[in-house]
Amino acid sequence: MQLSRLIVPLMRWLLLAALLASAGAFAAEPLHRQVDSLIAAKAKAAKQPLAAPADDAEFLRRAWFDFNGGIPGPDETRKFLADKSPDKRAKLIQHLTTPPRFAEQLAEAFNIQLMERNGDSDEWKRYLTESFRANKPWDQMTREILSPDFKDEKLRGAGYFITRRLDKVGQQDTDYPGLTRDAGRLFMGVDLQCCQCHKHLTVKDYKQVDFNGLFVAFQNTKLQSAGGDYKTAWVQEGPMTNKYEFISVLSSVKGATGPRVPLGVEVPLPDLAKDEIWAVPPDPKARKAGVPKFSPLKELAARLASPENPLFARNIANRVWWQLMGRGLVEPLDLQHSENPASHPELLDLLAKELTEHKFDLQWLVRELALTHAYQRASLLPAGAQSPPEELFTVAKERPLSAEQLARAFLAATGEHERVVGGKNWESIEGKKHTQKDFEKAFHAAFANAAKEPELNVNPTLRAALFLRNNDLVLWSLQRRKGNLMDRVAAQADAGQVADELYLAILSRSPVAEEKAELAKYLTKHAASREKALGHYAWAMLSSMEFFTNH
Amino acid sequence: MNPLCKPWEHATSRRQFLGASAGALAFGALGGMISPQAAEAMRKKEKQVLFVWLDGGMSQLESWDPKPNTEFGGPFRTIKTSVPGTHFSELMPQCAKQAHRLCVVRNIATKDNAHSSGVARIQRGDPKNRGVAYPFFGSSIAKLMGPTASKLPPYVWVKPGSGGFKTEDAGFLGPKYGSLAFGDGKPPEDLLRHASLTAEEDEERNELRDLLNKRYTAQRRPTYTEASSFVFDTARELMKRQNIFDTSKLPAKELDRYGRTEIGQHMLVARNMLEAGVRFVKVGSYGWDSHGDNFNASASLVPKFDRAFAAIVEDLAVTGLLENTLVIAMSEFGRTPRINGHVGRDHWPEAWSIAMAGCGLKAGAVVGATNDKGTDVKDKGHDIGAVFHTWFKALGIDSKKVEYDNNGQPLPLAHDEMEAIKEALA
Amino acid sequence: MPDQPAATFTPPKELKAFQNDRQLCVARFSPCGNFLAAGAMEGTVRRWKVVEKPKAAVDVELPDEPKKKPAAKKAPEESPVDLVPLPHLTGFNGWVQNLAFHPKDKVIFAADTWGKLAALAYEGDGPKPIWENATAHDGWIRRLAISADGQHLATCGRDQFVRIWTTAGKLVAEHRAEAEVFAVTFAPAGKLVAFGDLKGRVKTWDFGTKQVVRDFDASVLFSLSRLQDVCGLRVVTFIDAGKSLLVGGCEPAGGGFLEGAPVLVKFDTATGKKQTEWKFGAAKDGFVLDLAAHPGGYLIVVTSGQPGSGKIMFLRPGEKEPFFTHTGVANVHSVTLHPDGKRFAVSAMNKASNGNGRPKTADGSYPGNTSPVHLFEIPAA
Repeated sequence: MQLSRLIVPLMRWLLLAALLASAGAFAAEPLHRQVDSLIAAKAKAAKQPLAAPADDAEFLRRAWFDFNGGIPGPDETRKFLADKSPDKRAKLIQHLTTPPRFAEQLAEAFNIQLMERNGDSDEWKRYLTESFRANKPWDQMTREILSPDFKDEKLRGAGYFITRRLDKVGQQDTDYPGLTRDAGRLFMGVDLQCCQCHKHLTVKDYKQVDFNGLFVAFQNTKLQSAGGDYKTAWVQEGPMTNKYEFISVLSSVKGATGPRVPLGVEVPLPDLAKDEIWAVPPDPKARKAGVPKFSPLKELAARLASPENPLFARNIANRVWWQLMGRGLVEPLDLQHSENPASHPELLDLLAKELTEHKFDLQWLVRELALTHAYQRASLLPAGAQSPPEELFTVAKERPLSAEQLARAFLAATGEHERVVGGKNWESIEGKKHTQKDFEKAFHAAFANAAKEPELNVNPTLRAALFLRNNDLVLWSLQRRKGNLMDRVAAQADAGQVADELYLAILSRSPVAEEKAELAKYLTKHAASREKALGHYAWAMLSSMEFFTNH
Repeated sequence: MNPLCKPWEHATSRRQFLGASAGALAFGALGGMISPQAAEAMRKKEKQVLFVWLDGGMSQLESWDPKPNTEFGGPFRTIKTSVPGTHFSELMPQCAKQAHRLCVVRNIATKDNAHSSGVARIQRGDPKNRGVAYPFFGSSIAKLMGPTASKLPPYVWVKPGSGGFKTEDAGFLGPKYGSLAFGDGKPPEDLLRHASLTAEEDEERNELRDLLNKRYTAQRRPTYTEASSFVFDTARELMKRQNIFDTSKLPAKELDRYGRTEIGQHMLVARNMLEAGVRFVKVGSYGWDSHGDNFNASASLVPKFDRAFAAIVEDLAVTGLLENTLVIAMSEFGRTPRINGHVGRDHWPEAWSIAMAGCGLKAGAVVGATNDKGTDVKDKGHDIGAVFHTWFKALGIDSKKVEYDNNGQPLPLAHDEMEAIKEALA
Repeated sequence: MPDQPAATFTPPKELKAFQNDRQLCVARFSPCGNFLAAGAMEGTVRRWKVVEKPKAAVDVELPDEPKKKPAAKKAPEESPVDLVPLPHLTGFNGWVQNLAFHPKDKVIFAADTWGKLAALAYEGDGPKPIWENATAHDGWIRRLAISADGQHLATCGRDQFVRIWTTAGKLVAEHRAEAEVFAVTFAPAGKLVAFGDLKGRVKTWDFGTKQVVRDFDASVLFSLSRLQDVCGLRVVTFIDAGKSLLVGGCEPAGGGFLEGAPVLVKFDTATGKKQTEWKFGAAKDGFVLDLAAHPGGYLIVVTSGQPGSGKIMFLRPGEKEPFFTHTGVANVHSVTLHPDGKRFAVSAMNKASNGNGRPKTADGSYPGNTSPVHLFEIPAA
């Protein structure tokens, strides 16, 4: 059963290997070139034209959002646009994908992806940031997250993935099934939710044993609050001596499993005599639980986050691809199975293989993908293409910006970053001193999805529209204040220069002639209340789709 | 297949609705007795829902199903209603006058006697466990019927306490089917036009935004920009109608009729919203969990509900909206016949009542009965699943055929082993 | 006795709990001491004959006694007094909320929750209504008081009225209050009554001049909890020969469960000034529901709160704390002092009176709750 599920990707790999071999020197090419060949070949077969490369401005903005998390300042944009060197994009990528800022950006993206807005923990974010700063391999991080060492000061933050999910909500039962589901979804790309009580009804590969093999390891833990040796909430693992028995509510067929990698290997339970179970026996008098010799979580994590588990590499490759391209090679991201092949099966196989060989170095993968034509394509449709299928990656897809990215970009664009984030230049400014926290909170409330709701697509909401239209902070940022964008443009008499300044600051590009003319006309019409009119113009740009997506 | 929000689906349904309403009824015949908003909604003949939620559990014995002069009957008298032979508690004099418009089911028998699970179970219709969280009725209707032609948000919740975008009702349908909540009857944050802007300025800057979007999207896929335009349009519609959300401007005469109480005010806001065309309005009231001093509590609470509920039923009837509006008033359970030492009544799912009116229902009906002491339903009772089927049917949705599609998993709208309550349907 | 230090006080002893098959609103001894009457949560007045038992008392088989005997107290000492049930006085609706005995005549007055006020002869075998007024109030009559001289009755109710009647049933005067009226009482002499409403507004009112004399602020006994006007006021009574006015009830923390501490407030009748405010216990303890003045200079105050919690407290009005508190009785709804001053009775509740859903009984029946009457003896000093 296990074999048959692995055999399809294996065969594909053989096919790919044969293909590559026939292409001779092709195999020695860097990954980004191989990616582009595979994308181009499929587009050609589908008779879909490839979009032109993104212009410098679009590329610059995209790379900044992806690797820095914000937008470039007008001067940086001007400099990049003026740079004539042919390798300036590669240099920019190299520059932007260098820690520390890059590590923080990766940490932010993974926090959103792994926690799905369900809670916030500085300790956890610190763990992610430090790990990315050290370029820790993804398999190691995964093991640290799924089998946390709560006593290690540097590692205990990783435990939040589990402890947060085991937090009691009201009078509901501890959500072990939810944790099981998320672990499967986020680390292996398999959503086993429907297999808790019976086999999956629509996915042949997913069996009840797959859910329960993960579930048994998580259910064997108990959430403990911070105290004593533990500075954070932690989980206590219990001893496990027997397999977990389950029964299908549909067929009444019984099954049993120990800890098990979904669609993979089962961890053998050790044959321990009663007096051998404990590494540290429990002490009822001191009310201390014991430490069992056998840790199901540790054993499971070792087998799950391993080169031996093909779905592990495929999942993270697919998710990194999604992060940069806006769409997974496998969609939905958490429904990998034999009947839901990738749009480019060979490509996903290649990414997974290369990533495994590069010891799960995510930063290497990110850089390679950033160098691809696929990443650097324009979001403008090629001439004649009405609605090219997204899964061909012939056009850059518009991607959502997180609330964090938006807040950062908004403050940068309006020129209020220094004041609000840096706490500077507040002299002689009346009214409330807005802080970074105020902005983050407001943007989070307006743009972040509800807890446990993955943020995968551009998602315009009524809430966000009302926020942009009427929120105090938004309109405050568009009032003229010393040194801010409105101050800079109000001081410009020439409409053309005003347009340059606004477009560079907000949309990180120069205006086209038509846009300049429009603005000039508008300013003439509102000559009597020019300052206010400028604010409205800037508002329209800031609430436009061009600003609110990563395109 | 994608489990995520696809708010642009709204854009599609909006177009469909605009198309469907082209051959609408003429308004002239109705004369000037109803408000333009009421006329607008009526012209469309669109079905709407008013759902009054009395959180904590109203006592059936002190309201719809009194048992005077019996062991558990309590201190109150009963009164005659506008339907001969039907009596309500004396605490409901106004509803008694509307009884000919109501449909009261007195043999509700449900399962859960705890709030923590009961509130959700009842409002989700307690389907058989499918391993997913079912939507509350409002989210369900938002999904199945969408906004009306008014473009106003389909699911609005007028409630005490905090307001904003409440997503938890939506269950597996996803947060976009959650409710827009008016906390303490007031509009959510940022709904009203910012004080620094005139209406003209707001329109003009929005036109600028449209222009920029148009240029941006000219050579791109239209989906996201369309979705964005739709939410900005909805925001505009909401802002344009801020008068219906402004509780400070409610006319004194109407306030007196609805009662100058929290529930009275909120019910009046709800009426305005229904008249303006909101698809589903939920009015929430808290504090009905009268474990202690139930009879004084009921003497204070029930008449406040009575007045507000009777007023809105009457108003909807007078404007003709009742014909297409399903009206529901209920709690998560009733209260024990047994009177405890604190002169209170505890939770009682075993035999209680739900009051309904309007769209698709039999007017003036009393469905089912409890025994003489009110300690059990006579014959077979109706569980909440049957009640959900009844509501869907009343709204013209065949809940035995229509299914939800949860990422490819077909799910019934309501408990698939239960049937609509035939006696309640017109 | 008034100067008796708390340390040498011998606590009262419970003689017996007399079971009942219904819940009671109130129990009162007759002035002659030979009868106990109770208003039930059904349209009846329950009666018992108070029988001093000779050493070997005859065990009377009683028709209304429930099948199961009360759980025996650990000291199965024979009670020297028995309460022998008499047939109920009927003709009432809803609940008989309140009772008052005429100080001299063998007449009892009863008021129900449907608005009926009636005078009945209470001796003998059957109900003998002397007069009745089915619409004395529109609905729930909350409280009934009789003047010390036996000339007048005072009633108050949900209809916001305070009404004064002759004991022959003739309406003498009425006053419409601002809200529902929960308690009314006569001053020991003259034509002064005091009443308290839903919002904790207490007033003295002269039913001769029909003028409000003074306002007393007991709003501590009120809260608006969400939608619910939570009335904590239950008792108004004069003490110290009318010089002070006591207002009792609960300081409500909220509606629903209705938690709140029992409170008693003492006012100066002449000035309206608040003199003392007692708070007895925690939020679960609920209401001061009734009190009786003992000739020994102290008050017997009873409370009922969350199901199971109840207190009987002995309190001297000049002291800060009760000098005796008994907590062995659940939900004490009323207290009545025997005219001999040696005994008192409380109406209370069976244990485990609450619970969500249907209680599981062996025979599938749905038993209601009951109010036992607990008889206490106050040992001589």
